Amino acid sequence: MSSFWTSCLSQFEQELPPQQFNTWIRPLRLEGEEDCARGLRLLAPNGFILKWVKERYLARIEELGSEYFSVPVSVTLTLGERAAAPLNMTSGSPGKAPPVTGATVTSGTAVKNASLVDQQRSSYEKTRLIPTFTFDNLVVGKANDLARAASRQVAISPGEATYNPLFIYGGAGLGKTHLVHAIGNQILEHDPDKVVRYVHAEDYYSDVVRAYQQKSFDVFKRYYRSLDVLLLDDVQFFNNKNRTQEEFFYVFNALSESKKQIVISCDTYPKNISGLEDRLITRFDWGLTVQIEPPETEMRVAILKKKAEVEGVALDDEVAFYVAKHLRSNVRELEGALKKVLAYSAFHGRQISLDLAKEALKDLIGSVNRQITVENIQKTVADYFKIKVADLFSKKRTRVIVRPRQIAMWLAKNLTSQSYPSIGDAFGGRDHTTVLHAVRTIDDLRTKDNELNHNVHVLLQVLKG
Amino acid sequence: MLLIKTRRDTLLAPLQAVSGIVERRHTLPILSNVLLEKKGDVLTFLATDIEIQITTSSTGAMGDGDGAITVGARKLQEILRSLPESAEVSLMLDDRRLQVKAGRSRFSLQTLPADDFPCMALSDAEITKFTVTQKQFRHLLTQTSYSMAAQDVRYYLNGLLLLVDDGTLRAVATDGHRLAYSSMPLDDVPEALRQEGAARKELIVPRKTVIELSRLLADNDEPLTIEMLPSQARFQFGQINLVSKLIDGRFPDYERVIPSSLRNVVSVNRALLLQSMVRAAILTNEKFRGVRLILSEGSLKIMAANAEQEEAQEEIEVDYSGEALDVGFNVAYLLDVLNNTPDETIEWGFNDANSSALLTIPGNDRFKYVVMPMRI
Amino acid sequence: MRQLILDLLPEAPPSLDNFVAGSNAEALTGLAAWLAPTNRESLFLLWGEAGAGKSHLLQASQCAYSDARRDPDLSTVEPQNDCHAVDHVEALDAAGQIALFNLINRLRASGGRLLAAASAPPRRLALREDLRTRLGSGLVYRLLPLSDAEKLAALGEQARARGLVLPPEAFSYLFLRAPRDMRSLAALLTAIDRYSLEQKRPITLPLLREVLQTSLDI
Repeated sequence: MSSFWTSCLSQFEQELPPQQFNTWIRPLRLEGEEDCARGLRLLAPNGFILKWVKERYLARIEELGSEYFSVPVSVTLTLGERAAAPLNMTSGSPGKAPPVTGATVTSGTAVKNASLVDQQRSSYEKTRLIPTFTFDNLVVGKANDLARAASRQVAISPGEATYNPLFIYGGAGLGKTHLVHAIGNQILEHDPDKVVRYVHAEDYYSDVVRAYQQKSFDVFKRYYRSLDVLLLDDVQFFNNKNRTQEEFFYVFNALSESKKQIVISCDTYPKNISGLEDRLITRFDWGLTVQIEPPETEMRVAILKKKAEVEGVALDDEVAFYVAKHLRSNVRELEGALKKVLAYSAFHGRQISLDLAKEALKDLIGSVNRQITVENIQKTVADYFKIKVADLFSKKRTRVIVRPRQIAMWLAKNLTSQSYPSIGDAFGGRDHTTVLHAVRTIDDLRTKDNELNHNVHVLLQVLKG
Repeated sequence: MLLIKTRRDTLLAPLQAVSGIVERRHTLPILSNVLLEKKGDVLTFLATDIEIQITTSSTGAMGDGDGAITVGARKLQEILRSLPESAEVSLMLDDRRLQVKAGRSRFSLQTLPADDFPCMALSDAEITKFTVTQKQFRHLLTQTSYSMAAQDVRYYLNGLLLLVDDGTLRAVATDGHRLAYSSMPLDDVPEALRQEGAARKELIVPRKTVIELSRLLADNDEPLTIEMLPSQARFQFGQINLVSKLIDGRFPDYERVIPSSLRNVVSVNRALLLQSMVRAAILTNEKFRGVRLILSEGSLKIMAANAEQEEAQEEIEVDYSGEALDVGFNVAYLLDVLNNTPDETIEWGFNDANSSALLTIPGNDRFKYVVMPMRI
Repeated sequence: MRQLILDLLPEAPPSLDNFVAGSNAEALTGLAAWLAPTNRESLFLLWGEAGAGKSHLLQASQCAYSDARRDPDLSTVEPQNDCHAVDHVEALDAAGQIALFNLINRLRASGGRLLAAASAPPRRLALREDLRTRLGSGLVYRLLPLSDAEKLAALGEQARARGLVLPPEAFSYLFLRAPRDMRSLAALLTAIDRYSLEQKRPITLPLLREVLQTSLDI
């Protein structure tokens, strides 16, 4: 219909990076006839776009118009409903009518068959499972290998006593929730008749409160006891919620007696959960307890490449390595960083390269990535174990001091480029063999002593920021 | 060429009707002129200041041929006014000059060509149209126009909001310190507004137009037709046709400032209160014009003091037993409403000394006056 | 004696219209794309110094707005909304952090969205780890404060929106004498508007001087 506008659009498409073109230019609509004598009227779907286009692109549109019609053309921009733009930000009120529904979880298309959405919604309501969390898209590495293997086993034969409950623990953002959902999704895939329910500990608590208020404990109990698989996420949220713990204790007993599978995730190992009844802790240890550790560099690289692949982008090794090197402690922020790199590349219309990744992440990494020094390791370790920094230098050989001192040395060796002798010096002039011994001791204990391993883990996270 | 020969008043009345809007000094000299146009036996008078245009006419024109000319409005008006009432006046167009003759008086006035006279383009898209009596509309203006702002930077306050909705015509004016609201039912509800859910129509009439209308409207039951157009309003009454541009802006949400609940209400005799106020006002500070009202059981005291420490105190007996109140007001704002309300009794409702007062007429919800106090 | 004024001045609620972009093209394009229905990312976080415009954008986003400074435990959050904006997340208390943690989980699961604002990037936020990492898992953008020239333009825009006419030298006058973050400047403009209405005076340098004296006294 409007040949000028069509040519104008294609011109902008060439001149602008795709994201900018799609965000600002594409939503515009030409109103009425292309009559250059009366001027052109463009409709913008919202004031934001209107203002932006006016400030940055209007002059260019007029220029293109003048070229096209060979006479000066004036262009006015107004707000218009007719601009049924894909980027309609101000339409409706997201507070009430949902502009975005479950469709976004699985699909990039905004408009989706309503019944499909409903269907997804209702199946979601029943299980609370997020379908995108599967074993297939879980990146595996040393850090989560054991946890994944155990989870798969549970997914294949739920309810087996050796794996019941399956207790998965690890720091924040390492993929516990992903694993828990993957178990549920796979069980359902094998046997759609199984009654599977994912519940976050906070939501379980809310259920208890509601049952209490509405005096509907019977319904509550009957429901939870009817499950084939109960997936309880973040059980540490039960701390000091006595009534909830008690209710869960009964559910736990009922389910495990009837050989129904229970999977529990937590940010720490059972004995270390604060504010939890002993009888629950004992039961959590009945089955198998597995840990997810922070991913090592290769695994972080693999995660990044996999995520990029899902987005349809091929990520160079050096870019993936750069991002992985700077975001060590958890997978979530790693993903955030990748999203930022992709968005930055889209905004500027530039290929992803190492330089681009550096620019994109400078605010995110930049000043934050402080140098880890032996000094701040000592301070962090002393704070963590509630001892004095001076104790780490002292000749004291009590156990309360020796272990933290060894852990601090281990951290110094692993997180800094200091040599054994210089680490020895930094710990009150000790011999390098003392440091060597400490490092070996901690390496050994990490595989045997859950508590120690957890402490090291937390310290690593804190120090790496 | 003879344009017209008639009694003085036949010319003076229409000329006075149109020339009120003519600016004394204008960058465009022709705007000081009035356009006289003869067609057959009708002589039309037209004046404009570009924002407003008034047309009126008188019959009885004589002479052969039609013609049009513009001439200085004020000079012509002064000449006519100073002629004897019974004089017979003739206007002749003669070689680009207008000759005014009456008895043995002769005047020769400069003219400018009619073609140069700027006439307002009338917008053709009518939005809505309705008819009221001149008296009714005049009353509406009297009750509200004194609250318009005069030269506010917020141009939308320098006018009167007219709002048609639900078979009701409302007028609202405010200067930010007080607000006057008045409404009247429309018998002749426009078709477009009769449907359920029809959007209300509103426009802001500029201050000058409102004042001109108040001056021109008669206190009678003759019809006044109001047309609301996209950027103009047209008022037709008697021989007069007034077209005014509108203020393009959003009038403030007036409903928000009319207090919905009042803790205390006191009824006062309007004339009594007015007289006391007038007296107290003599000794108010010239700049702030503040008066203090002290309301207690059975009594309303009005106190004023000026910069020279001179003091006035008035006391009125009132039938009141609510909370005591000590509040300040700009006396001019109270005098305005008391002067422009004909009713015998006025009700004064309030919550406290820092929030607005609502003045109403008992048993009449068509008039509301909201005034903010002064902090003493 | 001081005349009080009727509460009828136009409010200028924060909108995407009256936001001045300055050097935040990237963040704003990102936000506009994120707010579009086609977006799949559930979390968007803006960080930057006070006065950079974070609250403005959050309030303009049409998402259900909560401010952790006023509501540190997020007790006013109505979970049934699909789009939430949570301002000043660094000010959340322990209960509020759990509430936000839950909210994020729920929004993730149901396809809803969270727009958050913080004083620092997620890595430097002193929040519980599970929340902090979640906040860092979505799109994170820094919002830079406006330059002086951009602030002047923004202020002029706001004055126009209020129907005010300021003498040209007024802006530089204000700039030399008032705090220069956008929030204070906008508040000052409101005070000028009110004072000019109270006094029924046009806005002139002497009037600005009076306003500055009174508002700086407070």
